[in-house]
Amino acid sequence: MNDNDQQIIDDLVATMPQANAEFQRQLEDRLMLELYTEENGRKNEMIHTKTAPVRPLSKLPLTLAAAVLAVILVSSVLVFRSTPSAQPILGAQATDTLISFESAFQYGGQVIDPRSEGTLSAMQRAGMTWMKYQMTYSESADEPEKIIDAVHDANFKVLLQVQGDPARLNQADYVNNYVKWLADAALVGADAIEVWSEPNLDRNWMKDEIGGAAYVDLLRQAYEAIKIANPNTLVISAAPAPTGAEAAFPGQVMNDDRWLREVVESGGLQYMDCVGAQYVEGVIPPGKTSGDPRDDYYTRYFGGMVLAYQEIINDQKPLCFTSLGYLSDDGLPALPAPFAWAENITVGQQAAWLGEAVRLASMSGKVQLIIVWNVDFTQYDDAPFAGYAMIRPDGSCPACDALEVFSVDSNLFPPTNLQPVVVARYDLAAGTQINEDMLTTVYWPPSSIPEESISDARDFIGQYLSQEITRWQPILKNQLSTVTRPLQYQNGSGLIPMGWVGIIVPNQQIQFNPLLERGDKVDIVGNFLFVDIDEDAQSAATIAVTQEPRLVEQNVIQGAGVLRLPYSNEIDSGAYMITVSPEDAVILNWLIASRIPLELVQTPD
Amino acid sequence: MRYASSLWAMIGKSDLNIKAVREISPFLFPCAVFRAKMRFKYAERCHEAETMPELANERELLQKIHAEPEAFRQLYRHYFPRVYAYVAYRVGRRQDAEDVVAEVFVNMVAGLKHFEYRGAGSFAAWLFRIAHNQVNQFYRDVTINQQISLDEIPDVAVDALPPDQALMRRENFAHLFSMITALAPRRQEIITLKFFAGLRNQEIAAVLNLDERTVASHLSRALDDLRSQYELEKEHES
Repeated sequence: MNDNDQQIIDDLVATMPQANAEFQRQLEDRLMLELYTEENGRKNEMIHTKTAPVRPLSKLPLTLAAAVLAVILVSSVLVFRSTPSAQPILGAQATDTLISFESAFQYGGQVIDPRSEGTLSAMQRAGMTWMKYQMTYSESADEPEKIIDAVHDANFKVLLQVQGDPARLNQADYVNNYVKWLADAALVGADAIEVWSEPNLDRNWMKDEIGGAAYVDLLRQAYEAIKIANPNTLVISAAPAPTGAEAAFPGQVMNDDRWLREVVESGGLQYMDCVGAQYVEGVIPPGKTSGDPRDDYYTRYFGGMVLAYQEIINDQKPLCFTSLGYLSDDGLPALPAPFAWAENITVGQQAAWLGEAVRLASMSGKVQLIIVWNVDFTQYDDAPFAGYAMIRPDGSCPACDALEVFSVDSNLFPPTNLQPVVVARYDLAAGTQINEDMLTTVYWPPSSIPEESISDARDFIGQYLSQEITRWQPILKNQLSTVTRPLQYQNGSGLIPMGWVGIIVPNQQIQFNPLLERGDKVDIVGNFLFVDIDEDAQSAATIAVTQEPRLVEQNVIQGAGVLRLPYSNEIDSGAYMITVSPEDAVILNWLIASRIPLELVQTPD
Repeated sequence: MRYASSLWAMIGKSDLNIKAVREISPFLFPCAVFRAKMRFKYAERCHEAETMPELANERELLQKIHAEPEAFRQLYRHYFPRVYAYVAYRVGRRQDAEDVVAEVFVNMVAGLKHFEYRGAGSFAAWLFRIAHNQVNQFYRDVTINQQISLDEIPDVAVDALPPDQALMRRENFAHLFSMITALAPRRQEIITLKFFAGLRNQEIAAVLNLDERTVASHLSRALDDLRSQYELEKEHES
């Protein structure tokens, strides 16, 4: 090997990035805790299974409940827009946040051409951040990568709804391939996948086999494959078609509420990040809770859908309206007979109602995503899709204007006088590792917000609480630590009981006691070296050379508390944190200053 | 730029001592350079040298991982440097790299119960698929300013070096990073998975869901692109 070769090799090795060793070790500690700490496992289990209490609202009759919801929503609007009260406004935007959603609520539209400049321009103007694209799986289906890349290139997140062949759902190979295709889509970057379409109708599912349990079987396979391929891809359950017609069409249709209830009873909620829903049959404003000329069935009302579904799923997951639209034949031929119910809706109403629906959803705390059905469809025959389109036949887009107003408002109003604050959703013990389920964002007046509070929880996920936090209490930066050590080794400064004093004792001064745990009570024994002085006959000089000191062990402090232990690699350089009474603190400080060797003797509580 | 001239020399040379390379850096050396530029003259020997060997008992470790911390520790310590190197070259900044790497391993831990061992290389492919997705997620979530100061870049083996040489190595990293980020996205992925993650073409194909021949083709073109950049720089320098 000549010198040149060695130089080249040196250069290559030299540009190999190397992690900070402390970072590598801390991450290892954290992962070990994730994998092996029983306490942590139980904690996570508890958190994941914890559910919000059933809202009394959900027990009310539908129309009354819808009315109450409307009052709540309107109240929220008033609260947001009026002078902020001195009290924090809890739950104004509280929601089950998913970490992959950048904020509590987002919206987008379903498109037929994700590359159309007109479509992209309209969506951008409307403030949309998501684009939904419907695909049908078959063995010869296009690769999803092109669509996903096109949507990402336009700076939107992509929701793929993937339908398959219902006649082949009983073929294991076909289902396997369908699931694999979904996983491939996740792998190449799909931000969300809606698994199947309207599975409560026999045109989309095997006749006489429609049911939530059968769907969960498919959903489970899809969820597991998607999450392995890309844990960041959100899985949305298929939105059932809103209908109450099962009695008229037995075996062909299943009512959406009954279907969803079966999904829940079959354990389906654990295989989705969001519950798919659709609302495409409104003829009155979304804030209305009565007055539909057809009847008062809950699917007629936007609020009715929200309440009915949340009652079924018991608030365990957010709702994602993957299709929400209003039909208008303005500028188009008359609607076909089955859609005549929408014949009086104008484009102006369509636009206003879409804007209002998005606004109400954003404040409901129940809905995480709305996809407007649709942006740019032009088909208009027995299926009058163009009547739902935001972009009208003349190229105008009144709905874009309405949504733009919402977009601007939503950016302006909350921050005008209220600021986001991340608070604990539950009581959290010291040492808890923060995950997204534990936190929610509320909006407080700036004067009420403590220093060091957090406005965006995402930066702090995975960190550890250094002290106990009660429900609705803001999380402060100085209460969080990236240190991934077990609780007993963490800084305990936040846990010093009222009226006590925390004192750091260098480890060199304490005989290491491996049996101690954080929270133990101890007596502190000092090892004093005494010499007896005959002041008449001895001087300090003679004592030093002539007299061996005698060791005296003295129990000097009783009932001290242990708040922090030295970590295993800190035996030489670490320190204990001890809590003592103020009186004992004077003694302990003197012992430390005098470098008296100490022992911690565990005592019963 | 010293690194540029060295890599240029590497591309042009044909008598490198493969054995010595393997001894020093078993998974770093870019065999693709040889394959692409030297008509596969060293392909067979280079294949051994190009990848970091899989842990001999990887399958057993994976089987024990939920019960034995030592199994996890071995796997983690084996793969951490590769994951870090790959991510660092994809995101550039030390802080970003640490954030992404942490997410990768947290996701790995979360997904372990679903992982199914399917032969040699399957765990590496699965792990780097997670890393690849996490890097993509990172770029979707943030707007990146590719101008990176020397203070922000990851450490690059600067231990025990005089300050001027340490600085030069940091400059080398920044330079190579800027060149790699100038490549087409797919080629960036492939070249970093190849050289810094130390994956075989077959494993890269599995990570990116591509055909192995497509990977080889992209790799060759990526090196061509890099060489073009070097040539351009040499012209400017001269």
